[in-house]
Amino acid sequence: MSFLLALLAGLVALCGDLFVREAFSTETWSPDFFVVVVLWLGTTRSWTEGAVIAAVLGVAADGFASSPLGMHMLHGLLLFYLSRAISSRVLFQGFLGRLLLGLVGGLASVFLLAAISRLLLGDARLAVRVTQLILPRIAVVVAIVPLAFPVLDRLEALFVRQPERDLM
Amino acid sequence: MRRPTSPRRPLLVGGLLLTLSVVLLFLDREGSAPGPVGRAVSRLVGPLHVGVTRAGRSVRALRQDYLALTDVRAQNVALAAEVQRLKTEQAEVEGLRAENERLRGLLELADARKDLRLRAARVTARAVSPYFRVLKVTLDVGEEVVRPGMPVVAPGGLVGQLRTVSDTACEVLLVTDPRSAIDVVLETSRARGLAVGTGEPDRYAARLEYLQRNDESAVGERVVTTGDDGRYPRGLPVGRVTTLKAQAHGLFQEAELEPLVDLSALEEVFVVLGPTGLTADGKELERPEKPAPASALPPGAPPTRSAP
Repeated sequence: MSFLLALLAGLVALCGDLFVREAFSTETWSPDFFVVVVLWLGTTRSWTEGAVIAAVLGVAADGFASSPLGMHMLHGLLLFYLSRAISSRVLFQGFLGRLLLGLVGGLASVFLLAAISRLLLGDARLAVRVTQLILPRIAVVVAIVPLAFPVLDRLEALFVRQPERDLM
Repeated sequence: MRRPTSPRRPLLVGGLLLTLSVVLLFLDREGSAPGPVGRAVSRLVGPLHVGVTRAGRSVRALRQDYLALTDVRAQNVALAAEVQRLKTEQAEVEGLRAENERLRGLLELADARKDLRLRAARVTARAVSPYFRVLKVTLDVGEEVVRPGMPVVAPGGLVGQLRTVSDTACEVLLVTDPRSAIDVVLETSRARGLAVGTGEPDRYAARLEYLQRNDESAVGERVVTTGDDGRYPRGLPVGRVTTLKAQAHGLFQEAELEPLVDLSALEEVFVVLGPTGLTADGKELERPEKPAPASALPPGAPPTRSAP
């Protein structure tokens, strides 16, 4: 259930990203919900479960973005592992903690995407274009992470069955 | 009972997924057309993609329509103000045009009657009494020039005579005032009579008194001054006969005339100061004419009724 919820949340995030982009023509400043969800997976999911969800969402993101298949999959996977690795050492709690995670995650997201474009796709122009948008992309992720994480946590608490307590 | 998870499992899954993504990336990079996996992903994501895009575009269209409507409202306000301003300007232009026509009429009158010394004046007020027909006019000449009793004319014809003269304004006794009596002649039939104002509150009219019963006058005939009463110059149009009724007995017939000048809408008039010594078309008179009795009247002389 938790797996499905996370997958569903990721798909809704991708749809939301597309919807906001279409409805409000926010090309540069469109909210990167995919990155936000992957960062959230890194803080809440196990290595295996999170990686699978991130990979599936990455494939879907490739479908939505019409990018080379595997690009967002790899991007999502690497970002998830980074987020998971940092979260296992640092506890990102509270508004400021999430803000910091957003900053690190946003920065990492841009550089990962630029690196994939440059190293694996061999597209230097795409890499340059990605790094040109570094400020708005990071700003958007930093702004959304502290707002979206409590909502995602609340959703999970509502829909995912908690382990039964021993009442004896 | 759940089996314990192998510690190698995350590494295996991670490695598999990373390898898969890189392989997919390289496969997709090689060919321009998407492979079977890419087509499958497109097929799966496509409907959702199209639906969300449509929804987003609908919202964008709605937003743009709203913004357009806001612009339209602002434009509407601006255009309404513009229309109001143009209407005001149009009214001013109409007023100027009407004034121009009136002044042109005055000029034509002055050209047509070169035998009269005329002084322009502007109508400033109208008497509010239902019993008297009096206009107040302001004159651009001194008090010493105009005197009570002087005729007042407009492009259409006779208006009346000056009743009082003060520093700032004069009063004009209209031809339709019951105190006004003018010696007149019907232009075609040459029947003579006395035009006396009826003083009716709802219309401007005058009675034709002392019109001989056997005179062959007709409705519509123009009535002009004779000049014999010593007050009005000869040949000034006064009005047009509107009703004519022969009495069963007696010497006279009843008739009414309507002034040729629209007395309800007068804006500018001429005061006749006296004769110029020329003919109406501006030629020198061969023999000197007797000065106009109007200018010879003593100041403040009241209008008098004169019998034909």
